[in-house]
Amino acid sequence: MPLPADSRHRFLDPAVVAKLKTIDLKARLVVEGFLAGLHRSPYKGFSVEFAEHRAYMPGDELKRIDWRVFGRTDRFYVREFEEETNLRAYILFDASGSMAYTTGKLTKLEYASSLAASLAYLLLRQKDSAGLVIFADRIQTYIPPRSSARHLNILLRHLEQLRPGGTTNIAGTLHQLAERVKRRGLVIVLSDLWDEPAAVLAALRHFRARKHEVLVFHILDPNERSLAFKTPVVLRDLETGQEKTVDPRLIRPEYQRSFDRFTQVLKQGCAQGLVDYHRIFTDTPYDQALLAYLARRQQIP
Amino acid sequence: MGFLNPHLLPLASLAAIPVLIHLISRLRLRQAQFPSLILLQTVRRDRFSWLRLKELLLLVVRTLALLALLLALARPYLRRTVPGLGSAQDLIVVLDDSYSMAYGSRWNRARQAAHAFLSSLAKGQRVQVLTSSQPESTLSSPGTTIPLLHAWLDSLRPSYSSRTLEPAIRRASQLAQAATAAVVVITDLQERALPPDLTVPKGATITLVDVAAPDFDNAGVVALRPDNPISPRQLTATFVNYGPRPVTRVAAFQADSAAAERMVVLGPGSRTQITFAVPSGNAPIPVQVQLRSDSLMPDNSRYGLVAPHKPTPVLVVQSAEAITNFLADALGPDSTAQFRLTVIDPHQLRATDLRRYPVVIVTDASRITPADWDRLDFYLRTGGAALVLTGALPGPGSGLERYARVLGTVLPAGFVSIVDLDTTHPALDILRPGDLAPARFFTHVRLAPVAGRVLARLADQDPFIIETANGRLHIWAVTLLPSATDLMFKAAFVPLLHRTLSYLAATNLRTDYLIGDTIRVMLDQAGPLMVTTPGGNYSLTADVALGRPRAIFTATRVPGSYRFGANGPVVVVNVDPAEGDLTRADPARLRTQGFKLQTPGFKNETAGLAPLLLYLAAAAFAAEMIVLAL
Repeated sequence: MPLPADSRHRFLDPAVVAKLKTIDLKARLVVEGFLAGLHRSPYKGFSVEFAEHRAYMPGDELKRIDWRVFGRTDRFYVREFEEETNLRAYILFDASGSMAYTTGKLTKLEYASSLAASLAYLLLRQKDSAGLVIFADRIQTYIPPRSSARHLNILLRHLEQLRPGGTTNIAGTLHQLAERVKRRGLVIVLSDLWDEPAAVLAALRHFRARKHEVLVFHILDPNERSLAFKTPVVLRDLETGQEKTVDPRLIRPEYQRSFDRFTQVLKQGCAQGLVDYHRIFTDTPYDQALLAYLARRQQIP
Repeated sequence: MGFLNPHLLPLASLAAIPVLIHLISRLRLRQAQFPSLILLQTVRRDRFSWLRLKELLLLVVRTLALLALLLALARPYLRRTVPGLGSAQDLIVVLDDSYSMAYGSRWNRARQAAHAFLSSLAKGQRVQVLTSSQPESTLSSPGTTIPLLHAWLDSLRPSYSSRTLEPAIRRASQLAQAATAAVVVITDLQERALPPDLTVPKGATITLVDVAAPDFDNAGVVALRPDNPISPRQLTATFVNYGPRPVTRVAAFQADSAAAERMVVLGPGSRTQITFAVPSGNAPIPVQVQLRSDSLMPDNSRYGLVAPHKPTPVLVVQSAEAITNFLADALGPDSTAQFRLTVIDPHQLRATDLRRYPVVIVTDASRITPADWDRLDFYLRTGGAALVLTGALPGPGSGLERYARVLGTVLPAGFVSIVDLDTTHPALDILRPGDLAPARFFTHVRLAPVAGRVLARLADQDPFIIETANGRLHIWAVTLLPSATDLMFKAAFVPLLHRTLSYLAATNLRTDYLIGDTIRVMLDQAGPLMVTTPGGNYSLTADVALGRPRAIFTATRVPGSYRFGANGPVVVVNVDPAEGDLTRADPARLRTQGFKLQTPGFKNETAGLAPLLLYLAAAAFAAEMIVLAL
């Protein structure tokens, strides 16, 4: 039974999820909440491994009716199978200093951690293998993809221990990773992408050239677009420490146009490179991010 | 340009607040973290100029609006002319600060007019300001700066004075003639303050600036009188309604712990009396009768002193040759007698304890023996007092010679009269200089004071009353026999005798004073003492110049009870009730006396800028709305 839309969004509200202490629980909450909210799961029944029988319901395909059971019981049952793939997913996690930014209850890093954990949980629950790469100006942690249940704990532990810091070198790091990851798979990038757009896009295309599916979650704080300071303010760059005095009232419209141009360039560049791009603000419920992932997942053969 | 409320002018500095906020907000920048400054580096500044201009415009209109509002509070005006100034270069401002000016809004209007005069002065013009209660002291510019004069005006309050404007106008005229100045008198045109015989001196220009409305309501307490001065049981208060309408008020009586209230109904211009019971006691009790809910405060209260009086014992040493009933007739006894006489023969003097009597009367000095003179002398040196009449020439060795030399007996052709009387002396200040002139003296003794002074002199220049240096002995050059004088048959005789004996007995002669009076009280001892008054405490040193401790106090500026020393005498000071009559003088009569009249006030001579400033502030606020909407 699907939950009402409002309650589902409340359930997946980042602020609500952030109250949970462990990332494991967060991931479970997000994924179960998300799955419970789906009207009908289309992702069951594509595998060859039998899972269970269930009563036939109008709308089920006739070919899935188990006629043997019908012969014995004179009732219609359909056969269900556990989905089984050999997908290898790489979660590329940006832990640079800019990810520490927040104007609400959780930082971009915390939001991305919960999202990464949820994705990993979802992937492993479906018997896919998931790996984790944490980077800032260089690769800090590389955990190769595995599909075992224990692997989830390893990923979650690393996500829990994450501390933001350092400058961003997305392009360089992605190029480095593209060279390192030989077997094609799904590359999920969680980053605020504060780098030269052309260089970032080139790096993403590098993955595509290696036949990877690439999914980009552009994680942003709402204030990064709205620049909602009421008085003149000295802004200090979280990564470089550089300072700039601005009067937001004067520059806000121009800044917002510039910000929109920046994200538009990234979006268009991704579209041209067949990279799935999703801009997410940290006040957005997780299901939007998960839906974006699943929409991409459908494309995987 | 001037300001009617210049003391509010400093508030205009608050208009700097928007500018300060603008500057402070620029100086005190908040620091905040931001993920990346990449985009901020690329933001173009095309719209900055308009936004900055908008902000500047907002700052200007806000400052302008605030400044206009605050300046409007100071009530600026454009000066046209100074009324009454004419061609005179300088100005003398007389401010009527009598207590009638406390009625309604008179005082505020008077002060505003005075401020306006000060503010209207052109450069180089001088001004002197004085008040009707203290015309002797003036404040002047350039001796005092104009802002200080404004501040001084603000500190002034209506006094309790009831002085007419005559002394102030006379003083201002003198100053004006010395400095070729015009005089303006800011007053309520009270009739009693501008008597008909007050005329403008030749060459002077005096303008009366009227700050009063013709209509008024006022009632007051004008008198308190005990029913019996010896043993008062009741006090009668007299109330007057000066106004043209009937009034109903509450009269409250308070004396020590006793209190009472009565309704007072007064018709237009009428008076009524109400009697209150007073508590009994041996000590003087200050009492107060107050008329409540009346507009003019100072005349609503009247203070009195209920002092149970004990008759003063007087020893009369009366010889058979100078037997006279005139003393007994003049000094009592009756229900109001202040003195209790004990009459003895001269030969009984040696057996009499003189210390029981504050004062001794000797009707014939020639009948006192030298031994008794010694006793009298000792008595006089130890606090006693005596009135000695000289009937016949004293014999050789008479003790009188210690105080006055006896030069013989004078038998004038017909009679002589008193031509010189020192009415400033406390024993005689109840009399006017001519009060004793009708008395005829057919014979008298020619005396010459040894160390004393002459208080009254006869036409032949012989002394009539001699006071010794220590003030304890008065010697009259006549005895009270019809063959010697008819003084006893004159109206002034009783007051003269009473006053002399009261003075000699050191009885305080007066307990009821008016504001501005000089209080003289007799004390038990000399030295410093504290005078407790409603207006504060004063240190004073008793004056011993007249041979006895006496305090003279001049600071009678506030009505109420005045106590001299912790256990000393108490007197009361009241306002002059006549000042409560607010009837205005006839303007036509004042013009015939030479005054110019400025009515209804000073405002007509100025163009107020406050409404204009309010419009300006409103326009500035509207402009702010428009700029905000852009």
